[in-house]
Amino acid sequence: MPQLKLQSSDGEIFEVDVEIAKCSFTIKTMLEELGIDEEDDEVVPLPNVNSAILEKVIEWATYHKDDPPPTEDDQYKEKRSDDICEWDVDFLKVDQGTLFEIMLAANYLDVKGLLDTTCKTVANMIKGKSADEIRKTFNIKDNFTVSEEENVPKENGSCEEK
Amino acid sequence: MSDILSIPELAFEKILSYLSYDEIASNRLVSRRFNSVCSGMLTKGFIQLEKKHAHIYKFVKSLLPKRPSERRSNVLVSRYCEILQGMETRIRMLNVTYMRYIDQQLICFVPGKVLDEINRLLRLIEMRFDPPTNNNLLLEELRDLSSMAMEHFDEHILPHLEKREEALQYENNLPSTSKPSEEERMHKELRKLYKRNRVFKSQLGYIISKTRQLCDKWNRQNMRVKKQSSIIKEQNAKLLVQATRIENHEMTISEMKKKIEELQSSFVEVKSKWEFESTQNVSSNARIFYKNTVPENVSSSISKNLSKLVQFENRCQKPNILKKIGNRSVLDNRSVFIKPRTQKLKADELKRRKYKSMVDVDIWRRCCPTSRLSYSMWYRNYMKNKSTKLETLKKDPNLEEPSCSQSKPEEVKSPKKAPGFVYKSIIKQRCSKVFPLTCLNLERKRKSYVCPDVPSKISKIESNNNFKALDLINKYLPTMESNSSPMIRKKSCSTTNNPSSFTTEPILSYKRKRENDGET
Repeated sequence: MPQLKLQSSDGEIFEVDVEIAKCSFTIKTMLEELGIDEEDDEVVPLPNVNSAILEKVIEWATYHKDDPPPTEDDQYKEKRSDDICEWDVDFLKVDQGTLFEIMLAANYLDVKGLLDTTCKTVANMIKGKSADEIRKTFNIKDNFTVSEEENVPKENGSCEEK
Repeated sequence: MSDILSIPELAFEKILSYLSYDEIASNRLVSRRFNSVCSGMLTKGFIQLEKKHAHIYKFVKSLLPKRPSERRSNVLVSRYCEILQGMETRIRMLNVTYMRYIDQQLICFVPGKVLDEINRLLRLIEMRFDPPTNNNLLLEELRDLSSMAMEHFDEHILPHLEKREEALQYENNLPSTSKPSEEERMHKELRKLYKRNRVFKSQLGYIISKTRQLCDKWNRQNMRVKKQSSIIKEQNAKLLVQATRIENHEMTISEMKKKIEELQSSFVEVKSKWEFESTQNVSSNARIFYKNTVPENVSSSISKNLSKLVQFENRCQKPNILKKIGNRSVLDNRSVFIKPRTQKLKADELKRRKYKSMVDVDIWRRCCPTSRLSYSMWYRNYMKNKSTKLETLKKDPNLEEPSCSQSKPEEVKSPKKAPGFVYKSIIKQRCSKVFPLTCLNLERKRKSYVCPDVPSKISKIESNNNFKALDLINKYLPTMESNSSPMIRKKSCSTTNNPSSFTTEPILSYKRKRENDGET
């Protein structure tokens, strides 16, 4: 199998099968448009992904290399967040920072399957939680102004039963 | 370390897209970032659902029959249609309530629950569920939620929004003094656009009229083509009929031709038989009348001598003809070749004269009166003429013999024809009875060679052109010829029984004449 060298932001080089690397649409389009031969020893630099995250991404891609190609999102289709496979659940049992970094890497490398999985994981973390709980979970500060803090709850209480 | 707020907006929206609109609406309270993203998603969601509803409603309407009476039969579609109609009224009411302020970016579409309910109902219709008999039950939730949302809007949101609106207007009015130029520009642009629109409209009208005209033409052409094709078909049918007729005619013509050929062949056979019989009769008659006088081999000898005479005549006259035709150039060229042949020419001339004399003798044998009765008549006349001549000579010896004294015996025979001497009549009288064709032709040929001026012209004339040849003979009638027959007759009266004996004098006379002609 032809190999491709991917260089992380911290300079580490990963030799990956081209088919696995092509899970990333960014790498795939780069190979197609720049016409880099598979036999060349050129290294593909990935400055936005560190070695730890790149390793995780390669691991995910290696596991999901035989998956069918992802379909395009339908705006009107009901989206479910409870259909994550067990391996992915275990794979994403990491700290929030790593999770969001994997999400960022998946977004940068355009690995749709990994991005969907991470987004679902985060959505599951948000679901059923109040605003305060979400703030606590994700360590978010309440940065509303006084007027906004008054208006937003007033607006939002439109459908609440008295 | 990255957190949820550091992720890009697309990823954030993707996370929130896995939540319901109610949850999204409630998450607005988390933070400003959450508020902005969630309000955007709610507004976007309302617009998307509005579009989705319109799309589905259009599709369901297309399934319905046009007649209201027929619509009752299609219950399922009519119920869907009723549901969608009820939803539409609610969506319109919400639109009227919220969209004005959404466009001003004063507020987002707040009631997330209403969006969830609309989404649920649309999904049910998409899944083609079996709706309950009473549509009010299904739409009850939506009506409640929407009415609650509108009430809430009127009671709690609108007063704040009016204040905000006034503030915004005040903010907008402050720099309004410096913006009339922009409005004017806008007005100008609008006027320009209006003018352009007018022009385009006129152009469009012209194009439409043209297309109509072309369509009319097209239709006319099609009609013409159809007519022409029908005419062509008729013509083809006629042609076929005509072709069959022509074939039949050709068949009949070929049959007729065959018949005509058969008839012609039979006619030729009959004619040849008749000619043969007639010639046999004529020859038998001739043999009866001229058995003693004319030898059988005379005609053959005449033809032989004539052919030889023609050859030598041609040889002798060749240089003269060439001189006449070629004038200078031919003379110059030929003179070189002719000089060494003078001796040969002389010999040819001698031979020519010899054969001519022989022909004359043979012809005289043919032409002379051979029967005793005719000869006796001719002899009597001749003797009378001679005696008269002798008497006149005795009376007046100085008187010269007239040039046409020889024609007097002819005049005795037929005194009426005397002034206009017609050689043709004599030949016809004699030869037509005994030798209808051969004698006449031979006579002509002889005359053509006797006369020095005529031969080249007469020799070319075919036997079919008898009259022309005779005219020419009469035209170029030689003086010697007119004298020849009487001369012969003079001698014949002296020696009737021996025709060969009186041939010498005419030959000599001809010789003399030819010599004189040659010298001249």
